[in-house]
Amino acid sequence: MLFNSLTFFLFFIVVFFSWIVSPIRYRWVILLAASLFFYGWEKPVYVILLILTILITYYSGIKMDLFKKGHVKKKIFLYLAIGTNLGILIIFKYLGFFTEIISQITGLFAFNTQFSPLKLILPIGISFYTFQSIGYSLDVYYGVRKSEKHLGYFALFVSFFPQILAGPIGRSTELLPQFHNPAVFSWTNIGYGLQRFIWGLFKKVVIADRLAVYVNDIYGNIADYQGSVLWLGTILYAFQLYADFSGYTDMAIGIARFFGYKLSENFNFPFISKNVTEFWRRWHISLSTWLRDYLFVPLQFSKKKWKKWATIYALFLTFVICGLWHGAKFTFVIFGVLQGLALAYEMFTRDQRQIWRKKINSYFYNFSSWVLTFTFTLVSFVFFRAENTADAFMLLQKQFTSFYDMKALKNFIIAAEGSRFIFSLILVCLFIVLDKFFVNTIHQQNKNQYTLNILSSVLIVIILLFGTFGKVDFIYFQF
Amino acid sequence: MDNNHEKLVQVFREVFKNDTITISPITTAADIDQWDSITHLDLITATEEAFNIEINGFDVMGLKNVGDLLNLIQRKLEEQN
Repeated sequence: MLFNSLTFFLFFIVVFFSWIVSPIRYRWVILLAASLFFYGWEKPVYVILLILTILITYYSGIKMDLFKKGHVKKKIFLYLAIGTNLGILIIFKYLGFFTEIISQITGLFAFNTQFSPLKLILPIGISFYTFQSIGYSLDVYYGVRKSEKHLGYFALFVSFFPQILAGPIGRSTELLPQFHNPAVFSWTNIGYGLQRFIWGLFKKVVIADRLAVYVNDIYGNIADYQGSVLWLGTILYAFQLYADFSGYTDMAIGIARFFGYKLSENFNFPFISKNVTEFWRRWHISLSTWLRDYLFVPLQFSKKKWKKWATIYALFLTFVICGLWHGAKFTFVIFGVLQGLALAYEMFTRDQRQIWRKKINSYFYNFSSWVLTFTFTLVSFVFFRAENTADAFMLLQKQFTSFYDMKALKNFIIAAEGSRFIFSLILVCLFIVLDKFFVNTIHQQNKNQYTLNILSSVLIVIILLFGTFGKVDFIYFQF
Repeated sequence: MDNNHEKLVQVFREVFKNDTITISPITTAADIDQWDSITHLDLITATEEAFNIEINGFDVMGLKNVGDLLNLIQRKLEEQN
């Protein structure tokens, strides 16, 4: 069920009014029932997987609390919980990828085995809720928090409908306590939720889905376009991806706020980053902090004696897994390796860069750092978007050879109905200009509320006039 | 306890190469420019050396601020005696 669809709108109205009229103590029942219904909407059978995750993670958590730190049984229950979640993830998301590799290898050695790659339909949101559950289990194991005793709250923590399909990946320490203090109806929350939702809807249906048309065309016909057009496609894709995913996140945060719950923030203007380390602090924050806390740091400390190399080792493994988390494809592995390389480079040159920074004019230094970082981001996004590695390399090769072909660029714009294309670019500029203002203002309630309300109304008009509804899936739903 | 605090200030100043750093129990990574997950290992290894203790992956989970780190150091020192 897409947030930007009529079905969701009706679903939300019913849920919200049932929530308002039910006694505060039992409101979680409404939200849990709504969440399970929401998750099962497209494919009811996958609710079974979700319930399996909930029950086993819940049970293991309670059991882990019974044993002391380092006790072997505590470890067994941790492995049970992580094993179940990773098992579900591997079977449904990666088995096809592994069998494909195996079938390629057997094909390579010309073994005459008929080994056909296994393809299962990926349950939506699986990468998000399994990671959230694993995070919870590790929190209990490491003693960061006690296990959750209330099965209902726990089930809601895993399945909460605003965030189950594509995050933000919630933390047990932030989200669970909120379910214990049932929020009450408040106009302030509704105001915030509505403004945030409208802003996200604008990003999704006006910016992302509009850019998708151009991006799909360019990425679908790489061989036919010159480097200059491919650069345009790559830049537009960066904004499409950002608008799509951060738009989804804004809507998720807004919807949760209607019920008084605060989800964590996922973005902090990633494209202003002046180095890749900074980029990962601003892009998909709930995933990058999850990877840092539950993967990077444990890996790094497990090889503590290697000093600097422990960090390099942990960086690479973390980012290859980060790449693969997005999908079982080699392009995502390359995406992860590129990020790992950039971060390792930044780690080794940290002191040196401090020296350069002092020597060189600060405006020039900052500007060139930004250009380099953004270019790197664009190049890495090529692997994020391309159908396969061959496409990605062809695109990059053309990008770095025929980037100067302005005639091809002009022809593309004319073919894309010039005025319509220019109008889309104006909307993107509007998005860039408003992005910081909107999110900053929305956080300081009372200040500039008047402007914000007018702006929200204008956005509604823009959404109704220029939006596309319920046609294009969110990019992150596939992960 | 105060002694540990003084010693830890020196560790911070050495690791982050900044002689003006001051820390308090509520100081977090966000307050110190260079303190992130990459330099965190340097900080922990330097702390281990300065206090002659051993800190493992288990211990660093759930460290939220300097106060938590000071408590951890105190606990480790007590365990040794």
